Amino acid sequence: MKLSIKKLSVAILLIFTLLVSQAYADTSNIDEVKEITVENAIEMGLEYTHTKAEIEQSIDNLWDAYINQVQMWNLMKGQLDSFDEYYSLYTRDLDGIELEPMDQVRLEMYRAIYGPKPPQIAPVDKFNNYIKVGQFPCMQLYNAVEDLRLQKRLFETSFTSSIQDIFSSILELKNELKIQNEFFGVMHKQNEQMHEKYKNGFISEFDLYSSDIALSQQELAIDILERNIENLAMTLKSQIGIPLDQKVEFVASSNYLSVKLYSSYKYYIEKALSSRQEVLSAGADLQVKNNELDVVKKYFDHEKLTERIDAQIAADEATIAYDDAVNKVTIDIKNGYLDVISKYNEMVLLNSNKLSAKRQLDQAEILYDKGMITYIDFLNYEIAYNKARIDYESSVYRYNRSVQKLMTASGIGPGYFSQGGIR
Amino acid sequence: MRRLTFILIVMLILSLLISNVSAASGAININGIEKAIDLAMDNDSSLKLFDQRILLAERNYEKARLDSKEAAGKYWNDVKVRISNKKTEILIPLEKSTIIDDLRWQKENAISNLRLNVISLYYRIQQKDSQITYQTKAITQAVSELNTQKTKVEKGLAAESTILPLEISVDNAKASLSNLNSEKSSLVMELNFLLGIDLTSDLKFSTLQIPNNELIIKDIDSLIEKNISAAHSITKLETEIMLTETEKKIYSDYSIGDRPDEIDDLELEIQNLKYSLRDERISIERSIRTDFNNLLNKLDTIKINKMSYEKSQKQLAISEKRNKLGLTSAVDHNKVVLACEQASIAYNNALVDYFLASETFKNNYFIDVVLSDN
Repeated sequence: MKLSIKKLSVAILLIFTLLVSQAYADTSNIDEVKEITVENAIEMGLEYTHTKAEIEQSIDNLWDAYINQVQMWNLMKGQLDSFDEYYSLYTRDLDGIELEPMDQVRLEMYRAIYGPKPPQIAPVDKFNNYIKVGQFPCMQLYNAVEDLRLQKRLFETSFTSSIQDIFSSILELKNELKIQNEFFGVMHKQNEQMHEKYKNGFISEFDLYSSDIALSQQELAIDILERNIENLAMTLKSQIGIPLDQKVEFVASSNYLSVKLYSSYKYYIEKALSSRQEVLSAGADLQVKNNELDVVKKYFDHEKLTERIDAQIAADEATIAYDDAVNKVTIDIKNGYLDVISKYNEMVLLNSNKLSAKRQLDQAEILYDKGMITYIDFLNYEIAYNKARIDYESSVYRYNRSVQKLMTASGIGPGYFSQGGIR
Repeated sequence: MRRLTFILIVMLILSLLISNVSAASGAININGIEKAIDLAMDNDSSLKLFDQRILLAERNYEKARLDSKEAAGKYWNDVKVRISNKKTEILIPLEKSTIIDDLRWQKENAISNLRLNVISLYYRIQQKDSQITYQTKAITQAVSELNTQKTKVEKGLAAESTILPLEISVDNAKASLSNLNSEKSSLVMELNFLLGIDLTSDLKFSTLQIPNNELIIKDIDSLIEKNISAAHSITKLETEIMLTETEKKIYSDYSIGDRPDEIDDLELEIQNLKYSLRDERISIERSIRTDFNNLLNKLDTIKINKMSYEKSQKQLAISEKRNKLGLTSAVDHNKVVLACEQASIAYNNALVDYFLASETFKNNYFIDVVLSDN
């Protein structure tokens, strides 16, 4: 049984490899622009990563061990049941109660197997030789399988969250690129006007030179930004199995500039305490330890017996671990919630900065048209407004990402701590 | 007489040892960057440890070779013993030889990283010094502006409230200087640590000219191809696959009866190693492309800063003319001078950033170096 499941797993893994390599090969036409939404990216990434297959492999192996253990426990339980039945038939026979013919046959069969008298097993031996090595490993292995299943779900959400994060960062930079390109267009027009004005003797050579330089610098800044987008895109491509030189258009499936609403702190904390992997895992472990304690109590009456003390300590430790998990998740969600509030406040502040920069630019335009300020001064107002606009729109992306992160942290996870802190 | 000769010999050896570093008036003079690198190499204990570890690994390999010869004709009466003998004969010498290669690579890597760290700190300290000189001038300028304003207020030409912002400017300029000094101290301590000198020692070294060369990479695709086939991480993973396949072959060739469970485990291990190899190849390609883009970005930053510097030089020329004609005050003219100096520092910082990034690029990847003057 063990061998066949293992072989099946190897075969599945090999088929999976072939499928993945096929998926990689499908994108061979690198000149064709591939459109990808965040949903596509997540789907492709989950297909491409082998971590999921490795966890599934471990689940299969553990499940295999669990089935073997259950079979062993069933045999042990059968033996214990037959002891009880032998004892019951034996005492009835001894008390002179007439047994049914089938019961008589069974009694004789037990005598032949176990001897003339039913075996007397002390509770401590029954516990040590049967329950501890038969029933308890079953509960522990089942718990370990469930824990790995949680790990698999955690990996999937963690992976999804990381893809969403990179995708959103790409869209944020693409938005900045769009604004910078618009600004370049404006500067280009102004530069043409400056050349015209210079020809007509309205502005100095230095003003024209400043305009030329500002235009060239903006062009270089756009090149830098494009390369930064390319770098982020390569990070994403490498995680979802697309050749790095494949041309890709990252498409926003939702309006990333619309501000997401966040719920109350109570909503997130209640959700997290019922869904986070750390809490669920510690809760399941606590349940196993409590079940073990209940079983031990049946076999050992006295509280001061070593087995009782050991089981009690294990249950107490599991309770502490559970409380610790609840505490850590509570702190995590609290920090995450504060992060959302802080990002929201930052967004509000940057929006007011943007409006203020726009007002200043409008006034500067009037002054520049009247010849009351130089082109360099006017350009500085334009640059300031452009920067304020980028800062505000980027803050919307950052805020939306923080809400998304809090949603993930209040689900199965991962939390902020395991993602390397709040960004 | 003998004692005197001994003392003289000891002194001679000591003077030879410290000839790379000369102390004068409390400060330690470092005579050139190559000397600093040599000092760091002599001081680095991990490099010496590598030599010992390589020696030990070579001894282990020799032992494994002898064990291998012995294991070839060893008697066995159990399959487990037979497989263990075959591992000793075939697999273990291969594993031990791989450890030697890995340690040699680690040592080479540690040497080149150390060299790069010294160069980087040397240039960073030099740049920090320029910034400190500039900031000192900026404080003088801010104080001078404050004094001028105070005079105006005294004469009733300006309101008292105009003084406060200028006082804040002076305080800010002083705080910036203090930050720069702390940053420099931390860099100096880092370098002292690498050179094996007392951490608080004051270092004085010859000024280095900032390199202004562009690293030319003609064909990024062939560079990637070359690195993917020759990178240490790739050859290491390929070796691990080869070793695991050898182990699997031992189990499959020398087992008797049922196919052992170990073959399934090893097949899975090979599969996972192949995935890691696939990921590593992509990771190398991504890091080369990303680092190359970052190099181009730094090159563009040089261009941007150079334009700003040239513009500030033109502004300075205009200000000088206006100053000569009495159209601008000395304080306003100094502002332009300082702005020009600041632009020059920014330009030089960009050059240093690019130089260090290109040195790191050359250090990290196999590359046929072509440099051109900017």
